[in-house]
Amino acid sequence: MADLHPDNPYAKDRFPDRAKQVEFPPEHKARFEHLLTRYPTKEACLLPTLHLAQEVWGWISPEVVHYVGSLLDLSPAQVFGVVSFYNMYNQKPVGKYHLQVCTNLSCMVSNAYDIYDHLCDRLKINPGETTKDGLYTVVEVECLGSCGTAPVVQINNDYHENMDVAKMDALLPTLK
Amino acid sequence: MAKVTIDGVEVDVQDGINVIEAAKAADVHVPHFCYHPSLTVVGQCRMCLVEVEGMPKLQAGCATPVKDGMKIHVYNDKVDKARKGQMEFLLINHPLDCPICDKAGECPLQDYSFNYGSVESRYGEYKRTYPGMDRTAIGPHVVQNMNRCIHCTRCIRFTQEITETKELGFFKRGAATEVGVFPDTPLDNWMSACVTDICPTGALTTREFRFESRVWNLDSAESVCNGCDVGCNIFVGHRNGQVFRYRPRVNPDVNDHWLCDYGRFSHERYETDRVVVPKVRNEDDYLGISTWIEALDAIAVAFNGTSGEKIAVIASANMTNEEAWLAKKLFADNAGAATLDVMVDAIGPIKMKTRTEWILGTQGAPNFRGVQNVGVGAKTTKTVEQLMTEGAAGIDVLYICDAGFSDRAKDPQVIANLRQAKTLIVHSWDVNHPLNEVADVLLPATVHVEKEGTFTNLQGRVQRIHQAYPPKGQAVTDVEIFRRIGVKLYPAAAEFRSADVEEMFETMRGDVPALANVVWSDDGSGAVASQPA
Amino acid sequence: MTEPIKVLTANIDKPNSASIETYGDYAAARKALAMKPEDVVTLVKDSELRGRGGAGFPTGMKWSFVPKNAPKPTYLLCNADESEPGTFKDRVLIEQDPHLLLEGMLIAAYAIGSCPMGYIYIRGEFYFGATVLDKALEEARAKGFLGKNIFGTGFDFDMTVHRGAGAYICGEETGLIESVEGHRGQPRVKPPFPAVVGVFGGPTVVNNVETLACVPLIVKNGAEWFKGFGTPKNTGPKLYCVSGNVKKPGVYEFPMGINLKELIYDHCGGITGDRKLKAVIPGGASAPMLLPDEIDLPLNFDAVMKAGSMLGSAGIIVLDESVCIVDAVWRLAKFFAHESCGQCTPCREGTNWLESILDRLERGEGRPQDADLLLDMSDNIGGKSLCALGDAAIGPVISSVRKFRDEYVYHVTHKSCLPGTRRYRRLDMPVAAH
Repeated sequence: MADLHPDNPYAKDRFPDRAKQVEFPPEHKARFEHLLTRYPTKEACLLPTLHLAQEVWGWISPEVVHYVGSLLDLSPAQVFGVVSFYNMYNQKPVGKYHLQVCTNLSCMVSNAYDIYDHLCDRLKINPGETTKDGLYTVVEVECLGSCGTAPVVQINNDYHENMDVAKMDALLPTLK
Repeated sequence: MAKVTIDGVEVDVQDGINVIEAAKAADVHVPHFCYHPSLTVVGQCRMCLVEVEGMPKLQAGCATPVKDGMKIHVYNDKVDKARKGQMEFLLINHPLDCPICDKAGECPLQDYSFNYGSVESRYGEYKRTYPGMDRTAIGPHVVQNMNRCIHCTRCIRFTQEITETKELGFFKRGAATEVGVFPDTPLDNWMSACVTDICPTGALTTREFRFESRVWNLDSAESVCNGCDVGCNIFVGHRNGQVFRYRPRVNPDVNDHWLCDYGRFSHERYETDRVVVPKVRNEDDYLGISTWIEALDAIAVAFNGTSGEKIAVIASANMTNEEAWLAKKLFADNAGAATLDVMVDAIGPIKMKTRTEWILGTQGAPNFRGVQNVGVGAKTTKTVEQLMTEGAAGIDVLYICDAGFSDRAKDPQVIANLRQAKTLIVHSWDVNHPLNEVADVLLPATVHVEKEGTFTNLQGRVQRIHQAYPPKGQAVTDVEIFRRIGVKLYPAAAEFRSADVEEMFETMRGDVPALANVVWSDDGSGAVASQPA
Repeated sequence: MTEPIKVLTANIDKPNSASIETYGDYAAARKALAMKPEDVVTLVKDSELRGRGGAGFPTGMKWSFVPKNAPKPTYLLCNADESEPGTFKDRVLIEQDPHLLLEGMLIAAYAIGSCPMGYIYIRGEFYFGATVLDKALEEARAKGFLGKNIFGTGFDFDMTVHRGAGAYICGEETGLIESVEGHRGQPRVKPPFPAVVGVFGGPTVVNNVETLACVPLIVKNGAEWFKGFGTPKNTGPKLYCVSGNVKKPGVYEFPMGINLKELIYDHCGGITGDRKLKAVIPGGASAPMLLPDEIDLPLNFDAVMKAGSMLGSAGIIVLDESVCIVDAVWRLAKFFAHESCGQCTPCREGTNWLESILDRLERGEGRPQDADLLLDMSDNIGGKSLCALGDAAIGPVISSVRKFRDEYVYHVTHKSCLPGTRRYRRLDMPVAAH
């Protein structure tokens, strides 16, 4: 539709490139087929399918929204509604290491913001941004459910507990 | 049945309906945004909070089914405070740009703000805005201003439950939640503009009506859409003899709250120059402006002494029942025309949802069934189809009651075929219609918003249309044209004495079996339609 | 001094605790499947087990609400979407002793009847927990404890691990149901209640991990044994999560009703740096705060309720005197604003407004009317929102304004935090767009 594209700043970064065809690799395709057997409706597979897609492509691009919608007979608006509702689906590419610093109350009083601020300063990025080399993205996240070992930093899928600035500094060089 | 007490008024209502509907029985209005009788209940806006005795919390009126003996308070201090609070929440991030908003004047948010809101704002923060979403065309007809949205999700539910096209969705969450379309999947379905009717704010407006008129400057007439044979009930919004918009008029049995885009914007065909004076072809074969007297004289000359065998009349599915009946009286019963027929173009099908079921409009004109019911086409030597394809050779007088009786009437070959008649008399309102040029007598006719009368839709439901504004120039309704001709040719006949549509309907009822049980109603209740027998 | 117990946590210190070999052969489930389903429900009712997810609703009663002979299959959902700040008990059970949960689900599914499938809704961030559960499910299936004709009783049941994707609101019963169905996790309007119409249109029971973990113990040892822990109406072993400014944070298991003061000072070693206690949030982020002189109370559902707060998920957050209370409340308000699903008016607009005002106070831009505005606005949110998140969001705000009003006023008048308290975040840090 001409009015939404390309003049509209709102739509620009969300506009899918229809020329880019995406498809699950065979292994993920098989896992997707298995998912379909675990739920009574197709729609219910949406969350796990998006997890699969993020595993493959690292983020949920507008093209992936269309692809997942076509797999599950959903409109792109329905898929994107879900993608944008849940925090864990990345709507833009993230670094190889997604540094998610919990700053909720228990972590905050255990000085999580020091780690967060330090990471942004050291990597010279603003929160939510990715370093130029594509290695790190730093974000502040809500409670990770590990308050007893605060502060906690989730790097991709792994929890790093009882962190502090020194431990973070020691950890960063190992993430290459 | 359940006996419930609403603000001290005891009413009997159907068991299990919600509090909003039950309160209507007690003539109490429960303000609400997200609740819509034809959509699922989501209980999101929290505007309809009411107090139910025995329940500790306030309850959402839309989501609370009534039970026998329930005591409900719609207006008391506790509820008023809560309602004022919700109103405040709704307005803190609303731009309050009513002076430049198209919805102003018919906006539930504005009305409720006036009734239940606070004069002063306590909000001292920055308002949330949606950059780039303040004048976004999200489809061929709909423009979105997300800043005005109050997140009631009526539009989303409409695309999910009524059209099932699901173009609209909620994106993001929390205070950043937005309603939108996925960028390359516009809101493009056959009823898309309905979202602008159900939107309780100015967030969704139609491109066509945007900035055209303030709504309080429009007059409104109750009518019926003439786009197809479904006969959706509409309000005609008009001013100074110009139609600005059609708006659906609720009729649960026909169109419920909806109107298709084709019908909604079908008034655009009236935005053309009009035939405003009669024209008669003179001895020099020139079609020149005439007076009504000259035109009627010319018609009289054509009809006088012509045997019925040589007279052919093409009626139109755009005519009202009264016009069709009078045409039949004039041409078949008095002039003895052997050929009197009507045809209709096929369109669509256009789907329309009543409260309970889908109905399909398949005809491109509103009243084919009604015109047939009064007897047009029942006994005809030639059909319209034959006249158009085989030509009208041998016909002395061909009388076309509406130049727009079919789209094919614009086809040069068809025109040439029809022109084979010795004398061609045409009613026309569109100055650009090619049939006008070949007519011997051209009579200025009216469009349906200028008429009074009734249409019969595909369900057999007879529905009234009301005149929005008088005809243009010297144009008169078809009823008046036939009456003038009738008086001129058959001064003794009683049926041409009066042009009063209601009187005519009563006479017609005795004449037409299909209408025998239909009652003329003009109680202004909105339906104005008589029920099918 | 009450000694910690090891009942729910009996297995977690064993080596290889997550494997089925360590766990055993589902003796409790065998026993339950030999009983009539309604007898299992009665047993759980008799044990007076109350839901451990936060509301403390009697579990047996919840099960008995499920209509028999419903046209659609019944579903059992396990709520492992542990996202309430201060709560981290379920993670221990999931990662260290998954079979206790699976056995509990098996028994629960049998008890509620006609339940072909159970879903464990685990929050997406618990990736490791999800892999542990998946492995445990494989083990149980291999042993024939799940699948067709379990223990030769003709009972069929299977489970699926459903990973969430980062939304606190999916811990709400109906939000969780929506999320399992593949929708945005927007809670549903009630009625109908999930026990009647829940996930995929069928009757649905949603239970917390810890609740389900109690079930095998009740079946194995009997209701009377279970009631031996705690006090009447507040029975059973209970996991308490202590975090914040204490020397030894962590998960502690006690009979229901451990004294809060004893828990903090004796078992957790007191406040970090031996500073003075400022406030305690006794039941996860949404529970109203308690002052130091209010904490001499047993931690059970009714006693904490009586003290004006709630036990919730028993996530105890301890704040010492160095914490700026406005900053702490701002952080919780930010959490609720971020996690509001956005569908209902008071929560969507109200939580965000609360956050803005608290942020403004921290920035030294407070206004004299702010404290009253916070209270009045909270009243417009509380009890008016569609689900309980609105009520949760105002818990810390209302209690802190009432109990620390002087500190709020100080922020307005001095445009800074109270001397001796600190703000943890940097105010100049840009906020990332989601």
